[in-house]
Amino acid sequence: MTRLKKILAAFSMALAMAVPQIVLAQETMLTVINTLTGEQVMLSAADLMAVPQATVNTENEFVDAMTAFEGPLGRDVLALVGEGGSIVVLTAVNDYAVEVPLKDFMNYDVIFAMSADGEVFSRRDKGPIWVVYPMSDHAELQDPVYNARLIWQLVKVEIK
Amino acid sequence: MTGKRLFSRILFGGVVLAAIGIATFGFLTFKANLDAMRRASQENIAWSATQLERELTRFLDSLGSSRAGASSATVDINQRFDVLWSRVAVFQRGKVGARLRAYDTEKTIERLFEELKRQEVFVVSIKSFDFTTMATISQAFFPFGSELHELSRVITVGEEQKAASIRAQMRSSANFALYASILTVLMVSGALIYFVYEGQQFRKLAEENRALAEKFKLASDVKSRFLTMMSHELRTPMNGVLGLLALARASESDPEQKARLEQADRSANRMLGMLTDILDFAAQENAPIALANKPFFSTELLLALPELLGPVAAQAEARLHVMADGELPVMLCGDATRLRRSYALMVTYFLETAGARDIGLALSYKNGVLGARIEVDYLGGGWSPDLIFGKRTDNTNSFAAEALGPSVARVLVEKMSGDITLGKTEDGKILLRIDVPVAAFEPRRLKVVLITQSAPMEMVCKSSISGLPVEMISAHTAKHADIVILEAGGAEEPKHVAGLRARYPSALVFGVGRPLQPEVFDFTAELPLEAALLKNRISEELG
Repeated sequence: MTRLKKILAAFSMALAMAVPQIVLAQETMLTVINTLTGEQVMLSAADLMAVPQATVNTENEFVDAMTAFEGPLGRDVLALVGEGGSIVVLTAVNDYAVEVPLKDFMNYDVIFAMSADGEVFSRRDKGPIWVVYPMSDHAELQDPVYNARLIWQLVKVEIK
Repeated sequence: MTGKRLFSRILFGGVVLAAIGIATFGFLTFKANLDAMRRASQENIAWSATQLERELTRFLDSLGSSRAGASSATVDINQRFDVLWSRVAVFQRGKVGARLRAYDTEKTIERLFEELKRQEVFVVSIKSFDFTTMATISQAFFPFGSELHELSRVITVGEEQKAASIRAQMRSSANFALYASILTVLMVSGALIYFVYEGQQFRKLAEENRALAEKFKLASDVKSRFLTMMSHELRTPMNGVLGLLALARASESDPEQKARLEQADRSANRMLGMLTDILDFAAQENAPIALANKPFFSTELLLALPELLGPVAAQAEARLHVMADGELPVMLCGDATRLRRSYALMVTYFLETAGARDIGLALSYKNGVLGARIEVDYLGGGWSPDLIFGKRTDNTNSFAAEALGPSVARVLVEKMSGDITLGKTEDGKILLRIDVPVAAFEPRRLKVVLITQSAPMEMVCKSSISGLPVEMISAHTAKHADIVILEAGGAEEPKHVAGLRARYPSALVFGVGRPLQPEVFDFTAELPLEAALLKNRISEELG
């Protein structure tokens, strides 16, 4: 835990120096738990920004057009609490939760999007985090099963 | 049968068109099913509607709990407010938003959003235990509860109806596909049964035709055999007649009687020729001609014609000219006997029947075709060459106008893949062309060693083989030879031959003169009497 926090702090400092215009509150935005190992990290916006960022250009049924979603890859965030497990439980701020197979994060570039087309998500618009699948790149993802996994206002991730 | 074939074609075309039509319908149905499935797989918007209703309830609950003192966290109120806002935002974007708005005929969501914006300032600035503001906000949003509930119900019912419609459409499509498949199978089966029946009919007809053809062939064979037998049987007494006529003519001294006997002899000879033609014609009808394909000298063909036809021309008191038109290849490869016979039959016919006074026959060779140009200056009269050499008609009555010799020649030329064309020269003579494809033959150039005892014998030998493509080489210098010609004779003959065989192991040794032991030679010829034999033997080696 100590080493992980140091790494995240270093990422945060580097990011802060690189993009000083972004002011991030240091309150916990996302809690990630590995129930198998007991590891848990509480990540602020800065912590999440410190993880390598990815962009997914895709459409889905909740946006008007092709949109560029930015945020860390889900598998990179999950890696912060170690390996193992097969199910990931994603929980929203209103306690709504969905179960997602862990392999989704391995097989596809699923991201924990924090912004769309350069605009940071607010809580009134699917923020702070929206789980986004690259649906335009994979026809098999254009299915209600995956629509249900596009959970927004994500606050907690549990690996089981 | 023509009507049946037309019906078969129409049936086949109909089945193909029907199959294409059904396949097109099937494709369109499949596409419609895909669209339906795509619609069926859209996001369940009823869930989004109920979520909005639920979040409104939870927001009102958070206000109510605070008022009841269970919780005084304004943070919770703000968070519930934001979540409610986000649920309203779902109605404003994307395909899900569009579908949701389509059900909202009362503009409930628009009004709710306006209310959210109006109350935002109060919610954001709300203080703990500010029960009055909380009550005001609750009263503002409370009426939307029943409206959202009704909207959820409408959306749920509407989506269920849509789903039912899609299911009905897919059922209908499946049924259509089933009926179309059954119809196609029935149509194809029916067509197959008909085609099998028709095939049987055609097979039956073909069998009948084959039986008829066999019957006619049998009749034709009987006729040909009869002709063969008759002509053969007639030739025997005719030869007897000719023999007796010759004897009578030889012993007759009276010029008048002798002239009559000569006339009788000519008539008998002509009849014998006709019988020979009949025999040939019948033989061609009976069995396919086996054409020879052997090398032969073009000069031999050219020289054989005047030798063969000269007497006939003399008898008809006509002039015959045979010549080469341009350069002919030294050797050709084909059926020399039948070529010669074809030319002879035609020329004989002109001489004996058409009253020809002057006939010119010129042989030429161009592009692999040996052409015979026969120009005939004839008396005319009622006879026309078209009757014999023109295009054949299928009219069996025209057989009376046919002549046996030209008919045999025509068959021979056709068998050799040749062609006969009739025309006229500029000065009005008959012009008949016989073109037959014949390959030019490039003979081996034989190396010949000539060993003679005397200059006269050397000259006789060289004269005998003149015209052949051979290279005479000296016995002193030659290391290789194909043929050694040795003037035979003397006691040392076997020893001399053995020496030559040792020196030229692959060469043939021919003996000329008067060999004492002919068996030691590969071939012997007594020169100058058998010069032609020597030439023919060497010609065989060329081929």
